[in-house]
Amino acid sequence: MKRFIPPPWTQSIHGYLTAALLFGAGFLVVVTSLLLDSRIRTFLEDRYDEDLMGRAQTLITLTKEFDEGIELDYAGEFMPEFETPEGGEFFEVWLPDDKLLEGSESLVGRKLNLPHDPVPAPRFGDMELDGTGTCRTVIVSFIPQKEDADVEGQLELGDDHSEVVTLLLARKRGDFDRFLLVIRTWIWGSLAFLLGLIILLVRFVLRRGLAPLDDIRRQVMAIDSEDLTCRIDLNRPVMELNPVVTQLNALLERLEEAVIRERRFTSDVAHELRTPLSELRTLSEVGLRDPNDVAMVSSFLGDVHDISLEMQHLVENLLDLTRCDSGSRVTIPEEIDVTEAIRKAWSRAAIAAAPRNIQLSFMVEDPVRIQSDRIMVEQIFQNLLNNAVTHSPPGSTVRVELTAGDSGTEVVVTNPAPQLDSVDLRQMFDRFWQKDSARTGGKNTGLGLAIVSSFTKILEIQVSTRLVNQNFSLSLFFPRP
Amino acid sequence: MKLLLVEDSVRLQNSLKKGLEKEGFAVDVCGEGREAYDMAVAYDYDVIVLDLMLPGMNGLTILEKLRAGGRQTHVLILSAKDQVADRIRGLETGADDYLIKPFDFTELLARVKALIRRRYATKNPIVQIGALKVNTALGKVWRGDDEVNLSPKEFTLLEYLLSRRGRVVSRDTLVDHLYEGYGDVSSNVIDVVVCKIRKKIRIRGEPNLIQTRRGFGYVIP
Repeated sequence: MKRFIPPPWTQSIHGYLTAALLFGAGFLVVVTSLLLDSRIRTFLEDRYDEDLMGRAQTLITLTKEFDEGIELDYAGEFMPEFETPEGGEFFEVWLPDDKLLEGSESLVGRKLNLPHDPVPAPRFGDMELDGTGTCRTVIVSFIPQKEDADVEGQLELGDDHSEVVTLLLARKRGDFDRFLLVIRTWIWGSLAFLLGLIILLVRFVLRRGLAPLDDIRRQVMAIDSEDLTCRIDLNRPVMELNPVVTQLNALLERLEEAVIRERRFTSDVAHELRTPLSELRTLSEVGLRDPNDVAMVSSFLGDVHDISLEMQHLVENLLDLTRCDSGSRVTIPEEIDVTEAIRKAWSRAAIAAAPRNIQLSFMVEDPVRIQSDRIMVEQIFQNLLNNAVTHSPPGSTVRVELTAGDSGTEVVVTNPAPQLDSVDLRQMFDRFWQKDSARTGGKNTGLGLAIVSSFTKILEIQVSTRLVNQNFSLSLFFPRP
Repeated sequence: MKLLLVEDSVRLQNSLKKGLEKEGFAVDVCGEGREAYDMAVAYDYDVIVLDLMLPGMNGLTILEKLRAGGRQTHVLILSAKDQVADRIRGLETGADDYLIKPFDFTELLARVKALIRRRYATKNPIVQIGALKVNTALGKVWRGDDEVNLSPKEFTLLEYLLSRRGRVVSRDTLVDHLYEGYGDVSSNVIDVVVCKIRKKIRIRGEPNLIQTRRGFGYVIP
């Protein structure tokens, strides 16, 4: 089956509204004009016929029956229209025995080409009269008034036809037709003017009404994928479009943030991978240029080993995140003693804490048990304590508070963070985020908190952060299942 | 020839410094942006090898400030930033070259040498004076058909004097361009190196290529 292809104008709001409004308004105007034309013409013709009938009535009144017979008491000086052809009015009065009683002088020997049989009611029509043109006619049959009698009447059915007289009256309708033409010309001329006005009005209103939409379209078309900093700005507030613009701008903002994050991520990955690769490559190339320099090569080998371990750590972290993203990270819930997990994590973090004289404040001794994945929870604590140690000033204390309640267990890790700003709290869980944009953290890759974020999402642990008086607190809440 | 290597990775610093020194360069290293800028302003390095992501002050800011201050030192950016836009930004800020990490050490050497040649307006790496032929790109010297075995430091001194041919170069200038650090090298060391070079490249019956201007320094006429 052939697929219906909608016409192009239906695919445009502007085109559709223009077509619909013009068609609708045009239809209404044409229908109104047709009705107006018909009503006015009928009204005028009726009035014209009434006038003609009034003239016929005059002639009927003048027709009387005497003892000697029927007579039309007609005086031309009072009715000059019947005197000459230019008067434009004509009549014939026919007797019942098919004899012409009288015809108007204006006929000048011509005959009205109309039937003169009696008619039960006045009959209007049109006819062509030689030398005059189209005439409006009326045929009326009546019983002439008897002299000295008050009764006068038109033909009644069942009356005696022998006394019935038939009046044929014609009036030239040239002037009337011209008048009708002028009226209709005005009607249809006004219609054309009105239609033109409507077209202009529709175009103006639509252009003005849809201007904000066009404005948005232009601005959206101007958005460059390489530059997402632009925002859509309406010149004047439009109630219907404001939510759309707000949403679009919010979308653009999120898109821009995502692109910036993506670029930063790519750049950070590049940096985190390229730097150790550069180190390895340079160490090997410089070493190979002079392999006999044993002292140099030996020191290089130590560096190569350290770089290998760091890259292994980086790759494992990235793999962990990838597994979390793909949903392939399997969790094995079991009973965990949080107190023990925290102390275990600190025992590892203490290796870096000791040289900088960083202490742990953790008062809880009793076991606090939760149900969760042991490896992931231990990794979370490890990352948090490593982070706290790395970013705390020498000689400071990392405080860990553990609270077990009916709804669940809360662990809060607090450490002094003089370099941290409140805006950092929003970004610190981003992958590769580091406070120092130069990424000179050495062994820190900026993946620790990203892993915490991914793991806590999987384990449904609620995370919140606070920065109060340059003390950074991260709270983990393990809801009771 | 004296280089300033600005790189925050200590391991890359060490390996590059050793590699470059083995090629005869005097290399000062720095891993912090502000300090690197101060060093670049204080000393007339032949080339600065500059990382972009640095603590304290990033590489582009250093470069921008150097150029704004009228410093014409040749700068080679060494960065992990590999996007075309990054390279364009680096070059438009005033860098003379851009090398992406990881890089080939030999390529880095070649580019540094090219920048040095550009500095001393010698596009041709081969210099021929009588029977002596020096290839600055390869770091090799021939006396007639025989290759002369110069140590990296000896070669660098010869190369520097060749780049300033016709002009007297003082011992202090030679120390500045041949030794890292802040000039705590005895000028005697230069005399010793010059003496060794003379012995190795001398052709019997011909005058010394490197001539002494007593009280001023050395010159290759």
